[in-house]
Amino acid sequence: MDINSLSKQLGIEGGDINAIRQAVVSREFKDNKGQRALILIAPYPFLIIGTIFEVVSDYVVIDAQVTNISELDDERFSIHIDDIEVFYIQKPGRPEIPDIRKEHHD
Amino acid sequence: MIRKFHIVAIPIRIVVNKFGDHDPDGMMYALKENESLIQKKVQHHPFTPVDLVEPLVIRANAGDDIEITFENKLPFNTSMHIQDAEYEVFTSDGAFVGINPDTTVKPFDKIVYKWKVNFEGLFFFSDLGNPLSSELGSNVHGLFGALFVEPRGSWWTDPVTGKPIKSGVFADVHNPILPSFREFGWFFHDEMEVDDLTGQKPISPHTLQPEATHAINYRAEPMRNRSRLIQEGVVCPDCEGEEVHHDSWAFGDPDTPILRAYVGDPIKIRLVHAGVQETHAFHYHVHQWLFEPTDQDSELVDAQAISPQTHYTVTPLYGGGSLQGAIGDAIIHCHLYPHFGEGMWGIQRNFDTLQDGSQCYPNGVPIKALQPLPGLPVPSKPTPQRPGFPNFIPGIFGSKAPRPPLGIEGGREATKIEKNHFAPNARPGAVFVNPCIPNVTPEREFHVVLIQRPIIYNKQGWQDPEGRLYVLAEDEEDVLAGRKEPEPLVIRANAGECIRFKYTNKLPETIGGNAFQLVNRTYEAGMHVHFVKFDPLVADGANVGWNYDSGVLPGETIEYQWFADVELKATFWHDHLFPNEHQQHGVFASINIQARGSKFLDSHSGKEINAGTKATITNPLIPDFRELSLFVQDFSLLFDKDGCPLNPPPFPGSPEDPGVMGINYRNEPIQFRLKEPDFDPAYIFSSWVHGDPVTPMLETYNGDPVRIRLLQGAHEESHSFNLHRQRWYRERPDLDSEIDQQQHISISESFTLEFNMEGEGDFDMLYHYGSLDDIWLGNWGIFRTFEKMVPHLIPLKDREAPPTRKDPLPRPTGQKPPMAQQPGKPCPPNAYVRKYDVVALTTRINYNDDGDHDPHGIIFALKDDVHDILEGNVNPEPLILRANVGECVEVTLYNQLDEDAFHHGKEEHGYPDVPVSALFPPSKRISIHAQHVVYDVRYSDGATVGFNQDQTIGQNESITYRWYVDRDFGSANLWDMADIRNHRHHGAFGMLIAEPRGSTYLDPMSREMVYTGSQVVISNPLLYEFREFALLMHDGVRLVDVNGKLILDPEPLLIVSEEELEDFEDQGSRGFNYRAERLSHRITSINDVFKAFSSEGEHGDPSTPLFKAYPGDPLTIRFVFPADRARAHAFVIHGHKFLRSQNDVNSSIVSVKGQNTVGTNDDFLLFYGAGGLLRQPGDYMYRSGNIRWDIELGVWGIIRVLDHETELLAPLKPHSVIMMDQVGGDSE
Repeated sequence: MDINSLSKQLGIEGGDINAIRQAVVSREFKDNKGQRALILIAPYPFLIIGTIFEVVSDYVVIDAQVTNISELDDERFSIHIDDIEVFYIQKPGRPEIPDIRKEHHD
Repeated sequence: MIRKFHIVAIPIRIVVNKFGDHDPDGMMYALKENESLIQKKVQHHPFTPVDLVEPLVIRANAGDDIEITFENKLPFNTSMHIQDAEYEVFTSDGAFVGINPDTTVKPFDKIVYKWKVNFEGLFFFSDLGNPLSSELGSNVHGLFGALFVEPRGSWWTDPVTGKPIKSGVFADVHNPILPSFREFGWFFHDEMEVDDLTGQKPISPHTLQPEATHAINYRAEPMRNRSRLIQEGVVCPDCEGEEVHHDSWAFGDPDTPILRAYVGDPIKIRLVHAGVQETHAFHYHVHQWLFEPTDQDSELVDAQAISPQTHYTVTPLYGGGSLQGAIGDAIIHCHLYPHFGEGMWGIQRNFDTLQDGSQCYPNGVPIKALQPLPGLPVPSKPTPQRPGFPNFIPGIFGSKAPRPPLGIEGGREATKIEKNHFAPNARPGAVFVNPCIPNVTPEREFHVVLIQRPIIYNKQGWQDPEGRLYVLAEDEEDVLAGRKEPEPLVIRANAGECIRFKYTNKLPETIGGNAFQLVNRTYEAGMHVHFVKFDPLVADGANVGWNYDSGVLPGETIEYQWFADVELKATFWHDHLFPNEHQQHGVFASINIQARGSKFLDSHSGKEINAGTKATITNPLIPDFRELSLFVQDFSLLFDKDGCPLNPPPFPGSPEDPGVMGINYRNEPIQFRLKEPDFDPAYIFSSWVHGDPVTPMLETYNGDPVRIRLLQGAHEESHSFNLHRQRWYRERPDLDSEIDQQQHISISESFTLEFNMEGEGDFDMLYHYGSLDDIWLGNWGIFRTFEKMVPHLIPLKDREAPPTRKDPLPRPTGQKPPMAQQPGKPCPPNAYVRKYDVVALTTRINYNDDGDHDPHGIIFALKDDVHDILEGNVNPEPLILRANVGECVEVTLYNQLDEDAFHHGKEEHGYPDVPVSALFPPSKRISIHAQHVVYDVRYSDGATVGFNQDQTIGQNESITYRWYVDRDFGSANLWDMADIRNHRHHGAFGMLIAEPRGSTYLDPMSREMVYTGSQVVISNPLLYEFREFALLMHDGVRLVDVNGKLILDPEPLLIVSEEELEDFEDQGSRGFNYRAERLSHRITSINDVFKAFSSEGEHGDPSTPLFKAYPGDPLTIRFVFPADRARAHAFVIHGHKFLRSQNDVNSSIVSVKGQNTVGTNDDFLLFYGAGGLLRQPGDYMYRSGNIRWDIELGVWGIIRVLDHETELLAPLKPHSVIMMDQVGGDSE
């Protein structure tokens, strides 16, 4: 079976699906620079809530407000988009990402 | 690589401490090359411990072959039986089982055992030539040891000299690829026959009564000896005893193990219970570890229950000193307080300066050198200005440890040398290490006060006049004035927080002076916490080793600091200064560490709360949930309303299971829930008849996420939490761990049971603590869930609000509830319905061929089998039902109980007895409750609980229960819920097994379809066939012998028992599947003991199930423990292994399962099938691991792996043949 038929069979004839996914996710972050995002990643510190600072190739640079670990709050993280398991970007009109520090800062 | 060892079993005097406590009849395994040296040293030092007299530990690497020349120099046959290793059962089992040749060794003879070890870990070995329970047996005297298996390529050195060693419980283990680590063997062993220096049974100077000794590595440091030094004015004359029991400043170091490391050193403690009877609780201060050391998802623990012959590897996270890098002494102990007091503790010591052998402890004893581990930074050398632990602490040897600097209000100034050791961010309560970062780590503050006030446990006026409890300072007045009900203090904090405490001790200076306790000073108390990170030198809330004493006197206030590094479960805390005297009065509490950003609300008002056992937890990111904290307690020293002690001990201060039990300072004894005119136990849980119990009522709306925080506050017993209908993951963070409905718990353990409340309508579920002892004394309660809104329970904000309620809530009527009229609809409409007609009947059960029987058996049987049972053609076995995943099971139960066949009627039950016994006539009703299945609790729970309808049936009535088997849960218990006291121990239980979809159940001989049976073939068109062996282990049985004489078990063999009857939890006979092959019928003298398990001679095979297989046949053992007492048991299988958690390939490989108690249900999928890796035919013993008293009482049996095909056992069909059969069948 040639590569074209194989691609067709696998439903990926339109091109490299991983490249597309990377491009789409990167674009989503790029388009929303300056917005708040919630990201779950498998590596430490697992949860990051912060502002999207920049997207460099397939890395998202995020200025964390809150993480799972209070000592890492307010740090800047560079996260490879393949590490991102779940993300949510707070856009106008969408629900606000809560601030879990509130109980001690309000 | 082949490693060869020549090992000798020798008699040896074992001196367990410097006070001369000793076992004159000790026995040990020793390397042949050390034998004469050991004997010479013991001869020269008859009154002090000898270093070489320790449990034998030999080492090998994974993949090695081991060859043991074993020589017996004891006066009876002995052996070495090893767990987990591969060996040929005919040559190296170290036992004489069934038709196997004898591989025990007669006196002054030798044998060669060959083992192969394929993975890292602890491989326990012990003697099975003489497994008698009494002092005539070998295990109780020390005949055990272990093979520690290291990663491939490892070598091991002496931690003091750095030179290679061949044996020894402690070693530094090195590997060319992996980091070096400190390895410490830790052998718990109990009930050792220890005499004092004069050869008498040791006497407690406090009670002036004989006292037991519990040991670690042949050493014990009981309080009695140290107290005597205080009484004689030798040390610390103003001290009482318990508060300095672990204080090296007062007494010097104990003789029990001291596990020495530098801060940050990787540590592995190879923990094994080599003893015979008790299930202990291993607790290690300051440190935590993963329950499964090779599984990153595993539950974090810092205390573990451990049953006889079970083992774990404890690998503390972050190494010595944990995350915070704490220096100082971390005590390791059995948390069962009487055992702690009787010697079962040691110390893990973390140094901050180099120990090269030139330093001394403050009492002048040289500090042995400790080689730094290669690859790690070498600690700095001690200097006069910075001498390091313990020499910077300004204590005086012979006096109590000094108080910590900074923390105590109005306390002393720190010395200059102390200040030199301060952490840069030192503050009160966190002086020498402080994991909190100033201005970064959020803080939360509490002021806790420890007070005394009477606590009333129930409506009948059972009370503790000296109740002691922690309260928040803001609640103190209300609790003392009775405006706020006393309950164990549960406070909360969020992950990542620094929790700051002020703690004030407001206890009176003494306690006791009654039937339970002699007057004792308890002038000092603290807050000792688990799990969170703290500085143990100043905030351990304890007085340990060369640390400071971080308790305070009455009226004093101290500051403590805890850091919650991550989300944790319920984090136990309690007093560590006088716990043996007052923890059972209520001195226990918890801090529950929640996810970051959580708020804690009162479930009634919705307002934020600072404390409370129940709360609604809200969080902006994770689902809100109900949090319910339950502390189970025993040794509760209560008096009745007239001031009479309830279950008083034989003498005040006795540790022989005094008092009663409770949950959160409450109990609801079932003896008070019999109502005229019938006094029928079937309605004891009914709120219609009696109102709700006073024990904690847990409440939710249907669908709510729930986390039950399970803790044990006091004091010595095993408990078994059971909840009807709802299920949870045994290890909460691990989705590969098993789903369960039951949890064994020992003191200091903590479990989170997380689930979403499943079910429809309003309904009540029973929770209880399993054993007869617990339920009898009132350790049960109700979990109530509502479909519609009620005014006293706020809905969870992130869930849809429950609909409005129109009908009123039910109220007690004093009348029996109506019968449930339908079984409910738990099954999907297209599910296949499997129907069973089951009859409950009274019948004789023969427990063995020697005439021991229960004339008053109460059993469940398939309707078709009843005739044969009643005619005596069939000796009944427990009912075992099977159903496939996806099936709907309809069980129609008929009640054919004959009340004339009950063993007692209007008089008291008697043996096997319960504490605070009372008249409790047997119920004529019966029911079946099933674990694990999905059902509608309102109709098919099999229990008449709360405001549910009646689900038990009277004589000649019937009921249908409908259960849905939604998942492959394997084994589940079935049991009667109409009369826990009178039915269950007579056999009113069974087993339900969930099989894979599409399975058929075949007779192993004929391959005909069967409907019940303990030994079947499970055939499935998609999967391989396997043999299924079903075992129900049970205790508390009431047997009579062939002459009709009542057997009062436990009845030790070949000796006259010192005690008339053992503790309640041990009363009763025991067995597998209504059978007990009691050794009393098989041996008559100590010279025959090794032959007890052999089928040679007149006794033949045992009466317990004889399971048969061919080599390599896939085997699954289904295992449940349906009845009856609080004693936990271990289950051991020879020559086979399984995963501790069957679906989790990262879980440990073991051949023993501990902590089996009422409600246990498990499945053992044996590796490599019958005969193990080597596929060796032969007889493989399955048995209890409790040498005292289970094995003697007949809790053992045989799996027979046949070497050639016989007509007695049809071979399993290969998968291809099953497929062809199907094709053939379809074409017909």
